[in-house]
Amino acid sequence: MTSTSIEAPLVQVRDLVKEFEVRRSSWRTQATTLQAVSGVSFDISAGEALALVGESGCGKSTTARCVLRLTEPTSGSVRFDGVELTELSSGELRKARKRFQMVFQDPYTSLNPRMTVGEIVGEPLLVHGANAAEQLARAAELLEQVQLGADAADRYPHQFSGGQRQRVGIARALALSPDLIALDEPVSALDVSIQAEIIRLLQHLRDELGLAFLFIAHDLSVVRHLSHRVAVMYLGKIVEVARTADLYSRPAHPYTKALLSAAPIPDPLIERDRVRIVLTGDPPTPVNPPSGCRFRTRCWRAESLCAEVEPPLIDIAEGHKVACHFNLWS
Amino acid sequence: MSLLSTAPRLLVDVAPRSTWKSPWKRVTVIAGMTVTSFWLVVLITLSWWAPYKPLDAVGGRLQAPSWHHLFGTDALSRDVFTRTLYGARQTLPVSVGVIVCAVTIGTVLGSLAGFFGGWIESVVMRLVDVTLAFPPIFLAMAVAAALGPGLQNAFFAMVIVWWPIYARLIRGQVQAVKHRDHIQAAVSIGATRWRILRKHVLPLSFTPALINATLDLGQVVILTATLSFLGLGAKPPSPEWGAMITDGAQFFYQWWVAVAPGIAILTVAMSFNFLGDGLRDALDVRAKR
Repeated sequence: MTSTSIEAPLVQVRDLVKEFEVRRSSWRTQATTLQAVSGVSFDISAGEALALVGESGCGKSTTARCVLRLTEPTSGSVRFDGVELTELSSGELRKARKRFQMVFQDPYTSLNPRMTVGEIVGEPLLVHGANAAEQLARAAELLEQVQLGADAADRYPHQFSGGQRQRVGIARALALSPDLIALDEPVSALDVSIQAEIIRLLQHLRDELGLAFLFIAHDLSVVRHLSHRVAVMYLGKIVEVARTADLYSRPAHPYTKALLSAAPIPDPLIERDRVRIVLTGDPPTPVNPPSGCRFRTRCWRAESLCAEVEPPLIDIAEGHKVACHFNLWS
Repeated sequence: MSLLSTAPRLLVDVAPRSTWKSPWKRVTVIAGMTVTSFWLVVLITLSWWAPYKPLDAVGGRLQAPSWHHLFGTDALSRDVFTRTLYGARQTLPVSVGVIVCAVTIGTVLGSLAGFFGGWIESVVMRLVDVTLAFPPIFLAMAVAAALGPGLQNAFFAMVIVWWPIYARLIRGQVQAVKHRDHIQAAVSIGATRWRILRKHVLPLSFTPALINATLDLGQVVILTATLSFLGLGAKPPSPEWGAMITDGAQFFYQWWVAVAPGIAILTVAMSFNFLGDGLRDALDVRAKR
């Protein structure tokens, strides 16, 4: 996977903004807006896995949902293979959805309990005009592909464990042979032992089918194995983007450093020397974000400049961008 | 292929419990089923074995119960036992019909309101609010009186009173189900909104309506009888339970004239309630989450 590909990236997200209206109380009509995503831009090349990480509530799931237009973005542009998704009519969008699919976080609520696994996995084909025989054949093939076995098709979701259900969710996302799959914390609801299996399955599918991933996670150790590049989000903004190896070895943003220091290292010798950076306080509310740099309220390197000027996301090395006035490399 | 493939479709996430909460519950459910089946059999086979005709004068006026007339005779010398059994042919189809119509209208309007929101929801829910603002019996009486007496008009009156209950119930369920991830998943595979409503929202929203319908059936039986009792339902010669009670209410010492249809109403209403209760235990989603 070369980061310097000449052709246009598969997905181009520019200045994506998503605002929600929050009403203070039911009788007061005046509403305040909450900016869950404030001006996010990134690219994903074909076959590339980009991870979006950050604390819960930082807008990473909302970003993914806006990219797939499961929620309408307030402003900004999402181009998928040259097509502007935000301008498609609902009919065109439904057809376009063939090429980008989603795997959801909770395998218990993301499968319809009244449908058999075969129906669930085959539904995307049915919706896009396949006949019953094709649907059946493809469902069996998909279930084999996610290592569930074709005889799972006649059973109902409640007869499966969380990990198996997540495999069903993955099979459904694969059904239409998409180019991009957005994975919204696909393993965080699962037991640790199952997590590894699912990660391995995803890795295998990515390599075999040449899928691009938009992988959402709040845990950097999960991301490491699966993604080519990592984007770190804080309070609705991307603060650092880099190739996975670079980000893990030389983080430039203080927030990235703090996140990395929180992840245990599976090597007792290095783990012993791990210095944890414990951030104090909670992330500020996105209804009223801090001026300047949004991370300054919890940053140990913050100076007066940080409150005045918002740091732009700039290149500090080949394929490594960071938004910080006093990044750790300087 | 697998043994488990025959799992019933009417389940929510978990497998059903095989028994009800308590032995008493079991008794009531079995009693409910027995009484309901009894009335169903009567309803269907009555004309082959009924001892008399419901409108024929047989024997003397106001005779006490005897082997010839199990529940005696009424003021017009008609056999009360026969009339009570024939009463099922009036009340039960009307009650079931009212519930079926109310559930259908309520499901259609309630699901549209809950799923699409916007002006559809405003219109439907204001209509629901207006209707539910009146006590059901008074509203049914007013509508039935406006339409004129007759079982058919009573039927319409009851549908008008009852559909909003289901509209509100279904709307709430639809709103709750709408935000589950599998609805988002259906959107993301490119399913149409119509398909999502039909295949993904309604099947999960319908169980409470089904339970409520069974419980309400008993109440509709009572309301049908009430309207007839007040002269707004079935007209006099026809053997309807409520109308029969009106006749019997004039004769204090000839108690059997009113008591027989009263027992019929009691048993039918109670058995439907028992059934609904059992059904709720067997199907309730909330109890099992």
